[in-house]
Amino acid sequence: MIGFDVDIKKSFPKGRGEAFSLDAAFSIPEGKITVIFGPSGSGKSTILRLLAGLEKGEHGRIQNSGKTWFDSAKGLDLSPKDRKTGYLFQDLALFPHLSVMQNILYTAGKRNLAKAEELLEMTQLGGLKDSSPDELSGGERQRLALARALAGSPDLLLLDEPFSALDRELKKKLYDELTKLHFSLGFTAVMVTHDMAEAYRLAEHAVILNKGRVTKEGPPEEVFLGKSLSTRIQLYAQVIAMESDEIHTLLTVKEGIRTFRVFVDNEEAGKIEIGDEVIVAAKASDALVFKV
Amino acid sequence: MDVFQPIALSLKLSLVTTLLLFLFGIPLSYWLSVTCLKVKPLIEAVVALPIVLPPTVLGFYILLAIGSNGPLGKLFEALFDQGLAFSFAGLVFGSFFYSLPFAIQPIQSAFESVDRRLVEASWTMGKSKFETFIRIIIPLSKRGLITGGVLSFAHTMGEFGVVLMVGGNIPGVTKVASIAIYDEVQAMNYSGANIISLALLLLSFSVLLIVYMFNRKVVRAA
Repeated sequence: MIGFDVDIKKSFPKGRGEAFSLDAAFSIPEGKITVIFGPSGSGKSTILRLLAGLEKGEHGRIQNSGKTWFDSAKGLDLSPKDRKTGYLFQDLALFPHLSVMQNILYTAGKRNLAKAEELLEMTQLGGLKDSSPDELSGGERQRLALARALAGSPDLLLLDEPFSALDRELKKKLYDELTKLHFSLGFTAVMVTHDMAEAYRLAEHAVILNKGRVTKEGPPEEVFLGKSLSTRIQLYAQVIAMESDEIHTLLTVKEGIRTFRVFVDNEEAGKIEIGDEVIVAAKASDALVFKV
Repeated sequence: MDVFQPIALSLKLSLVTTLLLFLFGIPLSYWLSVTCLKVKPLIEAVVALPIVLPPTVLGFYILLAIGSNGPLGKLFEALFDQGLAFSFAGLVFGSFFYSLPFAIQPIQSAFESVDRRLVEASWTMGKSKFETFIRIIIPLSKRGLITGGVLSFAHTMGEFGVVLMVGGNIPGVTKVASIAIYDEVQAMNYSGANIISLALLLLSFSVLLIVYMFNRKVVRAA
Protein backbone atom coordinates (compact mmCIF):
# COMPACT_ATOMS: atom_id res chain seq x y z
CA MET A 1 0.00 0.00 0.00
CA ILE A 2 1.18 3.49 -0.81
CA GLY A 3 0.27 7.08 -0.02
CA PHE A 4 -0.51 9.74 -2.59
CA ASP A 5 0.06 13.45 -3.11
CA VAL A 6 -2.71 15.15 -5.02
CA ASP A 7 -2.69 18.63 -6.51
CA ILE A 8 -5.29 19.02 -9.20
CA LYS A 9 -7.16 21.74 -11.05
CA LYS A 10 -10.08 21.50 -13.41
CA SER A 11 -12.71 23.95 -14.66
CA PHE A 12 -16.19 23.12 -15.81
CA PRO A 13 -17.74 25.81 -18.01
CA LYS A 14 -21.34 26.82 -17.50
CA GLY A 15 -23.35 24.07 -19.16
CA ARG A 16 -26.37 22.38 -17.64
CA GLY A 17 -25.27 23.70 -14.23
CA GLU A 18 -23.29 26.66 -12.94
CA ALA A 19 -19.63 27.12 -13.92
CA PHE A 20 -17.39 25.36 -11.42
CA SER A 21 -13.67 25.20 -10.81
CA LEU A 22 -11.83 22.66 -8.72
CA ASP A 23 -8.44 23.52 -7.26
CA ALA A 24 -7.58 20.97 -4.59
CA ALA A 25 -4.29 19.89 -3.05
CA PHE A 26 -4.16 17.28 -0.28
CA SER A 27 -2.42 14.10 0.74
CA ILE A 28 -3.70 10.53 1.04
CA PRO A 29 -1.67 8.79 3.75
CA GLU A 30 -0.64 5.20 3.19
CA GLY A 31 -2.84 2.49 4.69
CA LYS A 32 -5.43 4.97 6.03
CA ILE A 33 -8.99 5.89 5.18
CA THR A 34 -9.00 9.50 4.01
CA VAL A 35 -12.45 11.04 4.12
CA ILE A 36 -13.26 14.03 1.92
CA PHE A 37 -16.16 15.81 3.57
CA GLY A 38 -18.14 18.60 1.96
CA PRO A 39 -21.61 19.71 0.90
CA SER A 40 -23.22 18.55 -2.34
CA GLY A 41 -21.65 20.25 -5.33
CA SER A 42 -18.33 20.89 -3.59
CA GLY A 43 -16.46 18.68 -6.06
CA LYS A 44 -16.03 15.52 -3.96
CA SER A 45 -17.10 13.02 -6.61
CA THR A 46 -15.13 14.91 -9.26
CA ILE A 47 -11.99 14.36 -7.19
CA LEU A 48 -12.66 10.62 -7.10
CA ARG A 49 -13.22 10.56 -10.87
CA LEU A 50 -9.98 12.48 -11.39
CA LEU A 51 -8.13 10.04 -9.13
CA ALA A 52 -9.55 7.07 -11.07
CA GLY A 53 -8.72 8.67 -14.43
CA LEU A 54 -12.38 8.77 -15.48
CA GLU A 55 -12.13 12.56 -15.74
CA LYS A 56 -9.18 14.33 -17.29
CA GLY A 57 -7.45 16.94 -15.13
CA GLU A 58 -6.27 20.23 -16.64
CA HIS A 59 -3.35 21.07 -14.38
CA GLY A 60 -1.51 19.46 -11.51
CA ARG A 61 -0.18 16.12 -10.40
CA ILE A 62 -1.31 12.86 -8.81
CA GLN A 63 1.61 10.77 -7.63
CA ASN A 64 2.65 8.20 -5.10
CA SER A 65 6.10 7.15 -3.99
CA GLY A 66 6.52 4.77 -6.91
CA LYS A 67 4.45 6.11 -9.75
CA THR A 68 2.94 9.26 -11.27
CA TRP A 69 -0.62 8.83 -12.46
CA PHE A 70 -1.11 12.34 -13.77
CA ASP A 71 1.31 15.19 -14.46
CA SER A 72 0.07 17.98 -16.71
CA ALA A 73 3.58 19.47 -17.01
CA LYS A 74 4.92 16.20 -18.46
CA GLY A 75 1.75 15.47 -20.45
CA LEU A 76 1.31 12.23 -18.48
CA ASP A 77 -2.17 10.90 -17.84
CA LEU A 78 -2.54 7.16 -17.13
CA SER A 79 -5.75 5.55 -18.34
CA PRO A 80 -8.17 4.18 -15.69
CA LYS A 81 -7.06 0.60 -16.44
CA ASP A 82 -3.43 1.43 -15.63
CA ARG A 83 -4.07 3.19 -12.29
CA LYS A 84 -4.91 0.17 -10.13
CA THR A 85 -7.85 1.66 -8.25
CA GLY A 86 -10.90 -0.04 -6.78
CA TYR A 87 -13.97 2.14 -7.23
CA LEU A 88 -17.13 1.73 -5.19
CA PHE A 89 -19.72 3.82 -7.01
CA GLN A 90 -22.61 5.48 -5.20
CA ASP A 91 -25.07 3.30 -7.14
CA LEU A 92 -22.67 0.30 -6.78
CA ALA A 93 -22.56 -0.49 -10.53
CA LEU A 94 -22.71 -4.25 -10.01
CA PHE A 95 -22.72 -6.20 -13.26
CA PRO A 96 -26.31 -7.49 -13.53
CA HIS A 97 -25.48 -10.28 -15.99
CA LEU A 98 -22.83 -11.83 -13.72
CA SER A 99 -23.32 -13.81 -10.53
CA VAL A 100 -21.89 -12.71 -7.17
CA MET A 101 -18.77 -14.86 -7.69
CA GLN A 102 -18.39 -13.76 -11.32
CA ASN A 103 -18.56 -10.11 -10.23
CA ILE A 104 -15.61 -10.71 -7.90
CA LEU A 105 -13.68 -12.82 -10.43
CA TYR A 106 -14.12 -10.09 -13.05
CA THR A 107 -11.77 -7.98 -10.94
CA ALA A 108 -9.68 -10.66 -9.26
CA GLY A 109 -9.11 -12.76 -12.41
CA LYS A 110 -10.04 -16.42 -12.79
CA ARG A 111 -6.66 -17.53 -11.46
CA ASN A 112 -7.37 -15.89 -8.12
CA LEU A 113 -10.29 -18.10 -7.15
CA ALA A 114 -8.94 -18.60 -3.62
CA LYS A 115 -8.72 -14.87 -3.08
CA ALA A 116 -12.25 -14.38 -4.41
CA GLU A 117 -13.53 -17.10 -2.04
CA GLU A 118 -11.70 -15.45 0.87
CA LEU A 119 -13.21 -12.03 0.09
CA LEU A 120 -16.69 -13.57 -0.17
CA GLU A 121 -16.21 -15.19 3.25
CA MET A 122 -14.89 -11.95 4.75
CA THR A 123 -17.94 -10.08 3.47
CA GLN A 124 -20.31 -12.90 4.52
CA LEU A 125 -21.39 -13.62 0.95
CA GLY A 126 -19.97 -17.15 0.78
CA GLY A 127 -23.40 -18.76 0.61
CA LEU A 128 -24.59 -16.43 -2.13
CA LYS A 129 -21.85 -16.82 -4.70
CA ASP A 130 -24.17 -18.17 -7.42
CA SER A 131 -26.88 -15.57 -6.80
CA SER A 132 -27.51 -12.68 -9.14
CA PRO A 133 -26.87 -9.17 -7.72
CA ASP A 134 -30.61 -8.48 -8.14
CA GLU A 135 -31.41 -11.21 -5.61
CA LEU A 136 -29.33 -9.61 -2.84
CA SER A 137 -30.50 -7.29 -0.07
CA GLY A 138 -29.22 -3.70 0.14
CA GLY A 139 -26.50 -4.60 2.64
CA GLU A 140 -25.39 -7.65 0.67
CA ARG A 141 -25.15 -5.60 -2.52
CA GLN A 142 -23.05 -3.04 -0.68
CA ARG A 143 -20.73 -5.74 0.64
CA LEU A 144 -20.44 -7.31 -2.81
CA ALA A 145 -19.48 -3.95 -4.34
CA LEU A 146 -16.84 -3.50 -1.64
CA ALA A 147 -15.47 -7.02 -2.10
CA ARG A 148 -15.35 -6.51 -5.87
CA ALA A 149 -13.52 -3.19 -5.49
CA LEU A 150 -10.96 -4.88 -3.23
CA ALA A 151 -10.57 -8.02 -5.35
CA GLY A 152 -7.96 -6.48 -7.65
CA SER A 153 -5.71 -5.55 -4.65
CA PRO A 154 -5.96 -1.87 -5.58
CA ASP A 155 -3.29 0.68 -4.67
CA LEU A 156 -6.13 3.06 -3.88
CA LEU A 157 -9.73 2.25 -2.95
CA LEU A 158 -12.23 4.97 -3.90
CA LEU A 159 -15.60 5.08 -2.12
CA ASP A 160 -18.20 7.48 -3.50
CA GLU A 161 -20.79 8.08 -0.77
CA PRO A 162 -21.26 4.32 -0.48
CA PHE A 163 -23.68 4.42 2.46
CA SER A 164 -25.84 7.41 1.50
CA ALA A 165 -28.86 5.39 0.36
CA LEU A 166 -28.97 3.06 3.37
CA ASP A 167 -30.97 3.21 6.60
CA ARG A 168 -29.26 4.07 9.88
CA GLU A 169 -29.04 0.53 11.26
CA LEU A 170 -27.54 -0.90 8.10
CA LYS A 171 -25.12 2.02 7.86
CA LYS A 172 -23.86 1.31 11.37
CA LYS A 173 -23.36 -2.35 10.57
CA LEU A 174 -21.50 -1.60 7.36
CA TYR A 175 -19.26 1.01 9.06
CA ASP A 176 -18.13 -1.79 11.39
CA GLU A 177 -17.60 -4.17 8.49
CA LEU A 178 -15.59 -1.61 6.54
CA THR A 179 -13.49 -0.92 9.64
CA LYS A 180 -12.89 -4.64 10.19
CA LEU A 181 -11.92 -5.17 6.54
CA HIS A 182 -9.62 -2.18 6.74
CA PHE A 183 -7.90 -3.56 9.83
CA SER A 184 -7.49 -6.94 8.16
CA LEU A 185 -6.33 -5.76 4.74
CA GLY A 186 -4.77 -2.37 5.51
CA PHE A 187 -5.78 -0.71 2.24
CA THR A 188 -5.34 2.96 1.38
CA ALA A 189 -8.75 4.49 0.71
CA VAL A 190 -10.46 7.76 -0.12
CA MET A 191 -14.11 8.06 0.79
CA VAL A 192 -16.30 11.06 0.03
CA THR A 193 -19.36 11.92 2.07
CA HIS A 194 -21.58 14.84 3.04
CA ASP A 195 -22.51 13.17 6.34
CA MET A 196 -20.33 14.57 9.11
CA ALA A 197 -21.06 11.76 11.60
CA GLU A 198 -20.07 9.23 8.96
CA ALA A 199 -16.94 11.20 8.09
CA TYR A 200 -15.89 11.38 11.75
CA ARG A 201 -16.73 7.72 12.36
CA LEU A 202 -14.60 6.39 9.50
CA ALA A 203 -11.88 8.97 8.87
CA GLU A 204 -8.29 8.44 9.85
CA HIS A 205 -7.34 11.46 7.78
CA ALA A 206 -9.87 14.14 6.91
CA VAL A 207 -10.14 16.72 4.15
CA ILE A 208 -12.85 19.37 4.12
CA LEU A 209 -13.82 20.58 0.68
CA ASN A 210 -15.92 23.62 -0.07
CA LYS A 211 -16.68 25.03 -3.52
CA GLY A 212 -13.83 23.07 -5.03
CA ARG A 213 -11.20 24.22 -2.48
CA VAL A 214 -9.65 22.35 0.44
CA THR A 215 -10.40 24.41 3.54
CA LYS A 216 -8.97 22.03 6.18
CA GLU A 217 -6.92 18.87 6.23
CA GLY A 218 -5.52 16.70 9.02
CA PRO A 219 -6.44 14.20 11.71
CA PRO A 220 -10.25 13.93 12.04
CA GLU A 221 -10.31 15.05 15.68
CA GLU A 222 -8.45 18.18 14.72
CA VAL A 223 -10.44 18.83 11.56
CA PHE A 224 -13.91 18.14 12.96
CA LEU A 225 -13.53 18.89 16.70
CA GLY A 226 -10.57 21.23 16.77
CA LYS A 227 -8.74 18.90 19.21
CA SER A 228 -5.43 17.12 18.74
CA LEU A 229 -6.54 13.63 19.68
CA SER A 230 -5.35 11.76 16.67
CA THR A 231 -4.17 8.61 18.47
CA ARG A 232 -6.30 5.58 17.91
CA ILE A 233 -6.35 2.31 19.73
CA GLN A 234 -6.58 -0.75 17.57
CA LEU A 235 -5.47 -4.23 18.48
CA TYR A 236 -6.13 -7.88 17.78
CA ALA A 237 -7.04 -9.74 20.93
CA GLN A 238 -8.61 -12.90 22.27
CA VAL A 239 -11.73 -12.91 24.42
CA ILE A 240 -10.99 -14.59 27.74
CA ALA A 241 -14.08 -13.65 29.77
CA MET A 242 -17.56 -12.17 29.30
CA GLU A 243 -19.93 -10.64 31.87
CA SER A 244 -23.31 -9.27 30.82
CA ASP A 245 -25.99 -7.06 32.32
CA GLU A 246 -29.25 -6.06 30.58
CA ILE A 247 -27.65 -3.69 28.10
CA HIS A 248 -23.94 -4.21 27.96
CA THR A 249 -21.41 -6.98 28.01
CA LEU A 250 -18.01 -6.47 29.54
CA LEU A 251 -15.43 -8.36 27.55
CA THR A 252 -12.06 -9.18 28.97
CA VAL A 253 -9.64 -9.49 26.10
CA LYS A 254 -6.02 -10.46 26.04
CA GLU A 255 -3.42 -9.23 23.58
CA GLY A 256 0.02 -10.73 24.20
CA ILE A 257 0.71 -10.19 27.91
CA ARG A 258 -1.74 -7.30 28.18
CA THR A 259 -5.35 -7.65 29.29
CA PHE A 260 -8.09 -5.10 28.60
CA ARG A 261 -11.73 -4.81 29.42
CA VAL A 262 -14.12 -3.31 26.90
CA PHE A 263 -17.84 -2.70 26.94
CA VAL A 264 -19.89 -3.74 23.91
CA ASP A 265 -23.64 -3.77 23.50
CA ASN A 266 -25.34 -7.13 23.94
CA GLU A 267 -26.32 -7.39 20.27
CA GLU A 268 -22.68 -7.35 19.19
CA ALA A 269 -21.67 -9.54 22.15
CA GLY A 270 -24.18 -12.18 20.99
CA LYS A 271 -21.87 -12.95 18.05
CA ILE A 272 -18.83 -13.39 20.27
CA GLU A 273 -17.78 -16.41 22.33
CA ILE A 274 -14.98 -16.90 24.81
CA GLY A 275 -11.84 -17.86 22.89
CA ASP A 276 -12.78 -15.81 19.76
CA GLU A 277 -10.22 -13.55 18.09
CA VAL A 278 -11.54 -9.97 17.98
CA ILE A 279 -10.40 -6.55 16.89
CA VAL A 280 -10.71 -3.84 19.51
CA ALA A 281 -10.85 -0.43 17.87
CA ALA A 282 -11.55 2.91 19.46
CA LYS A 283 -10.73 6.53 19.12
CA ALA A 284 -8.57 7.61 22.04
CA SER A 285 -11.24 10.09 23.09
CA ASP A 286 -13.90 7.36 23.33
CA ALA A 287 -11.90 4.55 24.91
CA LEU A 288 -12.64 3.11 28.32
CA VAL A 289 -9.60 1.51 29.94
CA PHE A 290 -9.57 -0.45 33.21
CA LYS A 291 -6.54 -1.54 35.14
CA VAL A 292 -6.61 -5.31 35.55
CA MET B 1 -40.69 -24.54 -61.77
CA ASP B 2 -37.89 -24.78 -59.23
CA VAL B 3 -39.30 -23.63 -55.88
CA PHE B 4 -36.25 -24.36 -53.78
CA GLN B 5 -33.63 -22.46 -55.75
CA PRO B 6 -35.06 -18.92 -55.25
CA ILE B 7 -35.85 -19.65 -51.60
CA ALA B 8 -32.36 -21.04 -51.01
CA LEU B 9 -30.91 -17.96 -52.72
CA SER B 10 -33.03 -15.63 -50.55
CA LEU B 11 -31.87 -17.51 -47.45
CA LYS B 12 -28.23 -17.32 -48.54
CA LEU B 13 -28.54 -13.60 -49.33
CA SER B 14 -30.21 -12.89 -45.97
CA LEU B 15 -27.59 -14.84 -44.02
CA VAL B 16 -24.61 -13.24 -45.77
CA THR B 17 -26.14 -9.75 -45.50
CA THR B 18 -26.97 -10.21 -41.80
CA LEU B 19 -23.46 -11.47 -41.11
CA LEU B 20 -21.88 -8.50 -42.89
CA LEU B 21 -24.23 -6.10 -41.14
CA PHE B 22 -23.09 -7.50 -37.78
CA LEU B 23 -19.47 -7.27 -38.81
CA PHE B 24 -19.64 -3.61 -39.90
CA GLY B 25 -22.77 -2.56 -38.04
CA ILE B 26 -21.59 -3.35 -34.50
CA PRO B 27 -18.49 -1.10 -34.62
CA LEU B 28 -20.46 1.64 -36.42
CA SER B 29 -23.33 1.40 -33.90
CA TYR B 30 -20.88 1.58 -31.00
CA TRP B 31 -19.12 4.58 -32.50
CA LEU B 32 -22.49 6.32 -33.01
CA SER B 33 -23.48 5.49 -29.42
CA VAL B 34 -20.40 7.14 -27.89
CA THR B 35 -19.32 9.88 -30.28
CA CYS B 36 -19.95 13.54 -29.57
CA LEU B 37 -18.67 14.69 -32.98
CA LYS B 38 -20.79 17.18 -34.89
CA VAL B 39 -20.84 14.82 -37.88
CA LYS B 40 -22.95 12.27 -35.92
CA PRO B 41 -26.41 13.51 -37.10
CA LEU B 42 -25.17 13.48 -40.68
CA ILE B 43 -24.05 9.84 -40.44
CA GLU B 44 -27.30 8.89 -38.67
CA ALA B 45 -29.34 10.54 -41.42
CA VAL B 46 -27.39 8.72 -44.15
CA VAL B 47 -27.83 5.38 -42.34
CA ALA B 48 -31.59 5.97 -41.94
CA LEU B 49 -32.19 7.02 -45.58
CA PRO B 50 -33.29 3.53 -46.79
CA ILE B 51 -36.24 3.67 -44.38
CA VAL B 52 -37.79 6.63 -46.22
CA LEU B 53 -36.42 6.24 -49.75
CA PRO B 54 -38.39 4.18 -52.31
CA PRO B 55 -36.34 0.99 -52.90
CA THR B 56 -36.17 1.82 -56.61
CA VAL B 57 -34.43 5.14 -55.88
CA LEU B 58 -31.87 3.44 -53.63
CA GLY B 59 -31.49 0.60 -56.15
CA PHE B 60 -31.01 3.07 -58.99
CA TYR B 61 -28.13 4.91 -57.28
CA ILE B 62 -26.53 1.66 -56.13
CA LEU B 63 -26.74 0.40 -59.72
CA LEU B 64 -25.02 3.59 -60.94
CA ALA B 65 -22.26 3.08 -58.37
CA ILE B 66 -21.67 -0.61 -59.02
CA GLY B 67 -22.38 -0.67 -62.76
CA SER B 68 -19.53 -1.25 -65.19
CA ASN B 69 -19.03 2.56 -65.48
CA GLY B 70 -19.53 3.27 -61.77
CA PRO B 71 -16.54 3.81 -59.45
CA LEU B 72 -17.25 0.75 -57.29
CA GLY B 73 -18.07 -1.41 -60.30
CA LYS B 74 -14.74 -0.47 -61.95
CA LEU B 75 -12.81 -1.14 -58.73
CA PHE B 76 -14.50 -4.53 -58.23
CA GLU B 77 -13.80 -5.50 -61.84
CA ALA B 78 -10.15 -4.50 -61.50
CA LEU B 79 -9.79 -6.55 -58.32
CA PHE B 80 -11.80 -9.67 -59.18
CA ASP B 81 -12.00 -9.60 -62.96
CA GLN B 82 -15.82 -9.67 -62.99
CA GLY B 83 -18.69 -7.19 -62.82
CA LEU B 84 -20.48 -6.34 -59.59
CA ALA B 85 -23.91 -5.43 -61.01
CA PHE B 86 -26.25 -8.36 -61.75
CA SER B 87 -24.18 -10.73 -59.61
CA PHE B 88 -24.75 -12.27 -56.17
CA ALA B 89 -22.01 -10.00 -54.75
CA GLY B 90 -23.88 -7.01 -56.16
CA LEU B 91 -27.09 -8.22 -54.49
CA VAL B 92 -25.25 -8.48 -51.16
CA PHE B 93 -23.90 -4.95 -51.65
CA GLY B 94 -27.37 -3.54 -52.35
CA SER B 95 -29.01 -5.51 -49.52
CA PHE B 96 -26.34 -4.33 -47.07
CA PHE B 97 -27.25 -0.66 -47.60
CA TYR B 98 -30.96 -1.36 -47.83
CA SER B 99 -31.02 -3.16 -44.46
CA LEU B 100 -28.37 -1.02 -42.74
CA PRO B 101 -30.78 1.09 -40.60
CA PHE B 102 -32.63 -2.04 -39.46
CA ALA B 103 -29.40 -3.35 -37.95
CA ILE B 104 -27.80 -0.09 -36.78
CA GLN B 105 -30.74 1.55 -35.00
CA PRO B 106 -31.66 -1.22 -32.50
CA ILE B 107 -28.01 -2.05 -31.81
CA GLN B 108 -27.06 1.62 -31.31
CA SER B 109 -30.04 2.10 -29.04
CA ALA B 110 -29.03 -1.00 -27.00
CA PHE B 111 -25.44 0.25 -26.65
CA GLU B 112 -26.70 3.68 -25.53
CA SER B 113 -28.89 2.10 -22.86
CA VAL B 114 -25.98 0.31 -21.13
CA ASP B 115 -25.36 2.12 -17.85
CA ARG B 116 -22.22 4.24 -18.26
CA ARG B 117 -21.23 3.46 -14.66
CA LEU B 118 -20.85 -0.25 -15.51
CA VAL B 119 -18.46 0.63 -18.30
CA GLU B 120 -16.46 2.96 -16.06
CA ALA B 121 -16.43 0.36 -13.27
CA SER B 122 -14.90 -2.15 -15.70
CA TRP B 123 -12.20 0.34 -16.77
CA THR B 124 -11.21 0.98 -13.15
CA MET B 125 -10.87 -2.80 -12.69
CA GLY B 126 -7.98 -2.81 -15.14
CA LYS B 127 -9.97 -3.86 -18.20
CA SER B 128 -9.25 -2.30 -21.60
CA LYS B 129 -11.95 -0.59 -23.64
CA PHE B 130 -12.08 -3.62 -25.97
CA GLU B 131 -12.38 -6.15 -23.13
CA THR B 132 -15.08 -4.00 -21.52
CA PHE B 133 -16.93 -3.92 -24.84
CA ILE B 134 -16.80 -7.71 -25.22
CA ARG B 135 -17.53 -8.68 -21.59
CA ILE B 136 -19.90 -5.93 -20.44
CA ILE B 137 -21.43 -3.96 -23.32
CA ILE B 138 -22.13 -6.86 -25.73
CA PRO B 139 -23.81 -9.16 -23.13
CA LEU B 140 -25.92 -6.28 -21.81
CA SER B 141 -26.98 -5.36 -25.36
CA LYS B 142 -28.02 -8.91 -26.29
CA ARG B 143 -31.63 -7.96 -26.87
CA GLY B 144 -30.78 -5.11 -29.26
CA LEU B 145 -28.32 -7.32 -31.12
CA ILE B 146 -30.95 -10.03 -31.57
CA THR B 147 -33.54 -7.49 -32.71
CA GLY B 148 -31.05 -5.97 -35.18
CA GLY B 149 -30.18 -9.39 -36.55
CA VAL B 150 -33.81 -10.48 -36.94
CA LEU B 151 -34.89 -7.25 -38.60
CA SER B 152 -31.94 -7.34 -41.00
CA PHE B 153 -32.62 -10.98 -41.89
CA ALA B 154 -36.38 -10.53 -42.33
CA HIS B 155 -35.99 -7.28 -44.25
CA THR B 156 -33.51 -8.87 -46.68
CA MET B 157 -35.73 -11.95 -47.13
CA GLY B 158 -38.61 -9.73 -48.23
CA GLU B 159 -36.80 -7.13 -50.36
CA PHE B 160 -37.86 -6.70 -53.94
CA GLY B 161 -37.18 -3.26 -55.45
CA VAL B 162 -33.49 -3.01 -54.70
CA VAL B 163 -32.66 -6.59 -55.72
CA LEU B 164 -34.57 -6.22 -58.97
CA MET B 165 -32.72 -2.97 -59.83
CA VAL B 166 -29.27 -4.23 -58.77
CA GLY B 167 -29.44 -7.94 -59.56
CA GLY B 168 -32.07 -8.34 -62.25
CA ASN B 169 -33.65 -11.75 -62.64
CA ILE B 170 -30.95 -14.36 -63.36
CA PRO B 171 -32.05 -17.85 -62.22
CA GLY B 172 -29.68 -19.35 -59.67
CA VAL B 173 -27.68 -16.10 -59.42
CA THR B 174 -29.96 -13.19 -58.57
CA LYS B 175 -33.49 -14.55 -58.86
CA VAL B 176 -34.51 -14.49 -55.20
CA ALA B 177 -37.90 -15.68 -53.84
CA SER B 178 -39.66 -12.30 -54.04
CA ILE B 179 -38.71 -11.94 -57.73
CA ALA B 180 -39.68 -15.55 -58.46
CA ILE B 181 -43.15 -14.83 -57.01
CA TYR B 182 -43.47 -11.74 -59.21
CA ASP B 183 -42.40 -13.81 -62.24
CA GLU B 184 -44.98 -16.54 -61.53
CA VAL B 185 -47.74 -13.97 -61.13
CA GLN B 186 -46.73 -12.30 -64.41
CA ALA B 187 -46.92 -15.75 -66.04
CA MET B 188 -50.40 -16.23 -64.50
CA ASN B 189 -49.06 -19.24 -62.59
CA TYR B 190 -50.88 -18.45 -59.35
CA SER B 191 -50.36 -21.90 -57.83
CA GLY B 192 -46.57 -21.60 -58.35
CA ALA B 193 -46.61 -18.10 -56.82
CA ASN B 194 -48.65 -19.47 -53.93
CA ILE B 195 -46.15 -22.28 -53.19
CA ILE B 196 -43.17 -19.91 -53.03
CA SER B 197 -45.17 -17.29 -51.09
CA LEU B 198 -46.35 -19.89 -48.59
CA ALA B 199 -42.83 -21.25 -48.16
CA LEU B 200 -41.49 -17.71 -47.65
CA LEU B 201 -44.29 -16.92 -45.21
CA LEU B 202 -43.70 -20.05 -43.12
CA LEU B 203 -39.95 -19.61 -43.16
CA SER B 204 -40.08 -15.96 -42.11
CA PHE B 205 -42.67 -16.68 -39.43
CA SER B 206 -40.62 -19.58 -38.02
CA VAL B 207 -37.44 -17.50 -37.85
CA LEU B 208 -39.25 -14.63 -36.16
CA LEU B 209 -41.01 -16.96 -33.71
CA ILE B 210 -37.79 -18.73 -32.69
CA VAL B 211 -35.94 -15.46 -32.25
CA TYR B 212 -38.69 -13.77 -30.25
CA MET B 213 -39.00 -16.83 -28.02
CA PHE B 214 -35.26 -16.72 -27.46
CA ASN B 215 -35.43 -12.98 -26.84
CA ARG B 216 -38.11 -13.54 -24.20
CA LYS B 217 -35.86 -16.08 -22.51
CA VAL B 218 -32.98 -13.59 -22.51
CA VAL B 219 -35.17 -10.89 -20.99
CA ARG B 220 -36.44 -13.29 -18.29
CA ALA B 221 -32.89 -14.39 -17.49
CA ALA B 222 -31.84 -10.75 -17.19
